[in-house]
Amino acid sequence: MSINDFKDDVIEIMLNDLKRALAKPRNKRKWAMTIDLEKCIGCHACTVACKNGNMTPPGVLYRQVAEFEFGDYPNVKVVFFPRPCMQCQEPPCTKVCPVKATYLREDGIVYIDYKKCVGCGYCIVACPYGARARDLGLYYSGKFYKKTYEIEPSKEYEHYWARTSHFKSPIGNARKCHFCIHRVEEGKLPKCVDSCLGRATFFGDLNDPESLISKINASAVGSFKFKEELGTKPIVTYVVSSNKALIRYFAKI
Amino acid sequence: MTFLGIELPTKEEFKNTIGDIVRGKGGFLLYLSLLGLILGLISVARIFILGHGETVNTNAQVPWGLQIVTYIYLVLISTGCTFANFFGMILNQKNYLPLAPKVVFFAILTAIGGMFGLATELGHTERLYMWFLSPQPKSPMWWMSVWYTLELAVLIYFFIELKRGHASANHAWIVFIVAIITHSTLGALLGVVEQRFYFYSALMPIYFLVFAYTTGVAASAIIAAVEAPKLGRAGENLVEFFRKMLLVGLGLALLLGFWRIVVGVYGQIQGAEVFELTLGSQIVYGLVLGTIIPLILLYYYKGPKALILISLFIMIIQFKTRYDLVVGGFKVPVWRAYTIPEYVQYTPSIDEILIFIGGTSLALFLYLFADKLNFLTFKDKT
Repeated sequence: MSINDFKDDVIEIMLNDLKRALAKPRNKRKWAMTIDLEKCIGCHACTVACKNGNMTPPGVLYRQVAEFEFGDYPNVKVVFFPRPCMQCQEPPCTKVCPVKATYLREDGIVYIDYKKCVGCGYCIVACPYGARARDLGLYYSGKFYKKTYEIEPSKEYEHYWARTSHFKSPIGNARKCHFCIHRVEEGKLPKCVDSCLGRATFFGDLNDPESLISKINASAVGSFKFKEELGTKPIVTYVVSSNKALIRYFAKI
Repeated sequence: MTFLGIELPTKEEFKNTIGDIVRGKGGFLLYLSLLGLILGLISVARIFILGHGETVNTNAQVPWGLQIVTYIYLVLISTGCTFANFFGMILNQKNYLPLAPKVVFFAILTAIGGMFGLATELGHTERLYMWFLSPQPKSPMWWMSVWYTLELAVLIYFFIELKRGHASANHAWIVFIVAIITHSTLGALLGVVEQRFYFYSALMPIYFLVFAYTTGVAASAIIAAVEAPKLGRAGENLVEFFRKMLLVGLGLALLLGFWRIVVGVYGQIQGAEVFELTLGSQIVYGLVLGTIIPLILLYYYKGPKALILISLFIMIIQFKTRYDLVVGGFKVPVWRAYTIPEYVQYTPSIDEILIFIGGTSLALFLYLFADKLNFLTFKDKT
């Protein structure tokens, strides 16, 4: 089964999957993301949508799309590798946090409590994916001429945070992708999934065998999990629909 | 006036000392450290007012920079001073005791100076109470804080006992054991990070202890050499004692530094690239300037002046190697792509440099001030 076999729009399918998942208690869900490397066109729409949705400041990038050179001359092409937080099920970042500000939630999300984080940066050092960054309090429009769009309240982890004060905002904290869990719990898809032009990113409940993500994972020609040899048990899966060589290539990075 | 059995300086003594400083009789080093402290405090204010984004050069690729180096370096000296104090108390108590309050006081001050770096590095210093409200025993950083608090407490206790004239080798043992646990925990803090091959090693706690010994003994040796003329025979003995202690430390540092390089470069371990990348500076600063040259110099030159210069040289090079160790860990990014730089560059900002100067100056200024007040003298009451 390939993604082309699904007759409805995948966004509609995933939204229906969300409804089913949200009807269950939190501990019965396992949120996951799957990225089809052959479908990613490197448009960076996910990166931009994520920045916009989570209002991340300069230096904080939840959803990075890296570019790679694949193949040998003359058969060379650029391939793209989106990297959200892997939401590891054995996360190295949570163990090192001295104040338990970051922890693995029962639904598979590696959570950061912005009110607890002391901003020591140890989790950033420990993350093997470079998925975390510290909010240093920078603004695209400058420290003294902040535009409204940079300071108005934005939702993350169930709360609204306005970047108007150091103490009541994520400034000084470690930040990372959280699969837009605040949106998901409202029945919406993560920003990166919503905005993906190539429909390369899938999101859903792994505990539901009928969900699109479960079907995609089961039917993929090839799949891998980034740096899974480290024992971090990432929940993000990278798949291909035909080119297995791509999997072999990315598994080595 | 006495407090906890210690004779505190009188108001008159304070007035006279401050008067001397105001009149320009404080000594060059005291004014220099005062200037450094003021500059450091200005940077602290800048960091808290403007925020880290405008003042420091750390980022997602290099989360720890010169402020963490300042912390590690100063607590390295602090721990090393407790080691010097322990060996002094155990092996050479009679001659060492007059020096003990100075060494222990300097250990306390450098530990506090280290906090200067750490406190300004944290994104939310005001949430330090979370250490008690939400402890994470799995984290080496949590344990490090617990042990450092304890170390500071036992150091202050030892200082009080010294000032009361009751300090014994048993007290020194307690401080020594706590210092070993504390500083090896700091080594483990880096050693457990599997993703940073430059840090990841079971050897790291031992590496930290050996370099703490070398740096702290060098600092204590300077104190001993400066005080030697006032102590007569005991002073001469102490200079020779600290020279030998430094020789042992440098020998151990050479051994450990050499094998770390060999295992890193030739061990075919994952991440050997970072060891190859830093090979030049590891050999030049870590081995040649950091250990071999001071070893040769110490072997041939034996006077107090030589001990001061060589110890100072060791301390400067040790700072450089600690900087290389921390920053080197981030040189190779955790993964690479076209759009990710092959090697990560980091240059500390002026504020970060001033935090280092401020932390070091804080320890130095308070030490010199206390010394001027005659607060660091030893009175044997046994």
